[in-house]
Amino acid sequence: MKKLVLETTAPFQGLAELVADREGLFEKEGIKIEWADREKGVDKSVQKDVTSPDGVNPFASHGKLFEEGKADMYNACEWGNYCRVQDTNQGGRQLGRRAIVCFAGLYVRPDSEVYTAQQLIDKDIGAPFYFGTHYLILHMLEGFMKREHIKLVRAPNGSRYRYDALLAGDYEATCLTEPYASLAEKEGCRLVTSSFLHGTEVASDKVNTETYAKFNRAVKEAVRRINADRSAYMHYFIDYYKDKDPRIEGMSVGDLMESRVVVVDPAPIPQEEADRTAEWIKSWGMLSDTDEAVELINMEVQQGAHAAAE
Amino acid sequence: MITLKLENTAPFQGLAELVADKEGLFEKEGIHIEWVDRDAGVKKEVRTDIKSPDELDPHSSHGKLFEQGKADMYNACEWGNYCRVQDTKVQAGRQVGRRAIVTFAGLVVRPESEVYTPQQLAGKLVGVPFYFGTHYLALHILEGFLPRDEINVCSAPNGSRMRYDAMMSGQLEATTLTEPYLSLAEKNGCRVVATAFYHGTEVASDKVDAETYLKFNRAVKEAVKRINANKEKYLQYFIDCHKDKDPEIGTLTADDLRASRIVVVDPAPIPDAELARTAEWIKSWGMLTETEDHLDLVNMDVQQGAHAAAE
Repeated sequence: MKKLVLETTAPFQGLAELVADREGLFEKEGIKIEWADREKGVDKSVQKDVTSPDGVNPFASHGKLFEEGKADMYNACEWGNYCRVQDTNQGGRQLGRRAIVCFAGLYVRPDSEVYTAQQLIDKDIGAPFYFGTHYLILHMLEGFMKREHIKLVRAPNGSRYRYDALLAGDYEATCLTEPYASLAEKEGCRLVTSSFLHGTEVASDKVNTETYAKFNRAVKEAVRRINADRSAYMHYFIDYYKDKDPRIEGMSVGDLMESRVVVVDPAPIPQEEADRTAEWIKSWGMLSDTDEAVELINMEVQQGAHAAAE
Repeated sequence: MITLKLENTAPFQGLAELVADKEGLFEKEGIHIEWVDRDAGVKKEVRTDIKSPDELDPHSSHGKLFEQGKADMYNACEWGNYCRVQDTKVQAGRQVGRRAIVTFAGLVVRPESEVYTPQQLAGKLVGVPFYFGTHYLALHILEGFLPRDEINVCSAPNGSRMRYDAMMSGQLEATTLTEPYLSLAEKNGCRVVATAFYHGTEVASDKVDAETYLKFNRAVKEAVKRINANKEKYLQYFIDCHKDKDPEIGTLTADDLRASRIVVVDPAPIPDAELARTAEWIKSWGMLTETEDHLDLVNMDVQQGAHAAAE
């Protein structure tokens, strides 16, 4: 049995992996998963004076233990992982896209005067720099306003913290993932715009082609099971948080939307999309030390493992 | 009792007006509403060869009867109304303020589509109804994820049903849908790759003076109050409006719809700053080229007078 240490993940970003683990699919492939808590000690404050990712550590949570040599692999949003891989000290490279395509939405309080994305012009928006919803906010808003009118402030990772700060009036809007997006709607907050985002896996050289192929076979089986009966897996989104947050405990799966849970077979990052993504990240002043997107991917493992997992 | 002829509307764009009419709120204000069918005879075809609104008639449905002198007022998306008002032949046709509903819409793909995110629509055919709200909304959404030259839109009919069918048949990779078709699409396994809300406005002739529009808005405001007090109750409108013409919608129940997608607010003036930005953005897409001053698009007397008096 091969042991893989993974940084902890939540259903909105790692449902298939959580299902594969709980249902013994990794074990069946000869992999024993050990989860390492990347969230211990992470700063959860809103910092309104921090208005860009400059100077912010991309390894504040995702990749933190990996960079300390305490995890073999982690999954996070694709944009953030481009930046993390650029800055890695552990030789970490992306191996491909994770299974879940993550839903997220930009929300305002019930009493906000903002109803459309355009109305967020020059208003403070809480964004967790280097996390998926940071980049998604930029994408969602730059179609509705000029870049100079998008005003971000640093907000913590973890939708719960961003939601609480939204309700407290720390900023006008923030981006939430499930189950907090549904909680916000239940509590009268308004969705302004929403979309989906891809994520990838970053691994050390401990994860070779054979190991990643086995890992992906287990994940693919989890994807198949989830897609065959999505309603049976919605409770993951509640169970994961209910002990820590009574508001989530008060929700039922009927409060969630199955259509927001999209899982697909893990797959290589298409070259064209990798190039376009890298170019877009650079246009926002990040990823400036990377010449080619291909440098950010372990092509050998990515191609070999995905082909073998077919 | 004054009779106002309104072009007909659907819940996704006119829920509050439909409620006000059905619950006798207009009558209470001394207004009798007569609905006229703007969609009779409208061509409902996908034209993959038509890639921009150039040469298309902005009054193909919204504003059609108004321009023939057969309606006194109509409501439609704000962007489209800027263009319609610019091109109006009924000289007094001007916007008088924002309508009550803030419309929810999404970009949708088939269950088997390989598109999961808006970026993946680069170069792919997206059907939009030119000059209707979701045309502009699609541009706004997509240009956040793609350079403009990779946005590939084509002409699709107004009315979500026809666009949904064209998307499902594979004629289009994606299209924009409003409720209840968005929920129907989700129920049938389609994926909504992005969503957003948008404002609409009312365009009126000089028959609609400040006093009349004030009364109209008082009725609408009462409808807004009622809807917001019990949104679940009014979800049924989204089904009832379509079920006779579309049996598949008849299979939906209010539980298939999401109350949080229904946003209605008191009608209000178009804020000046938003008006200016909206006009500028429309011009950046090659429309509204004959409008020098965006203030020309609004009847400021009626807008200010009616909304101030309605407070």
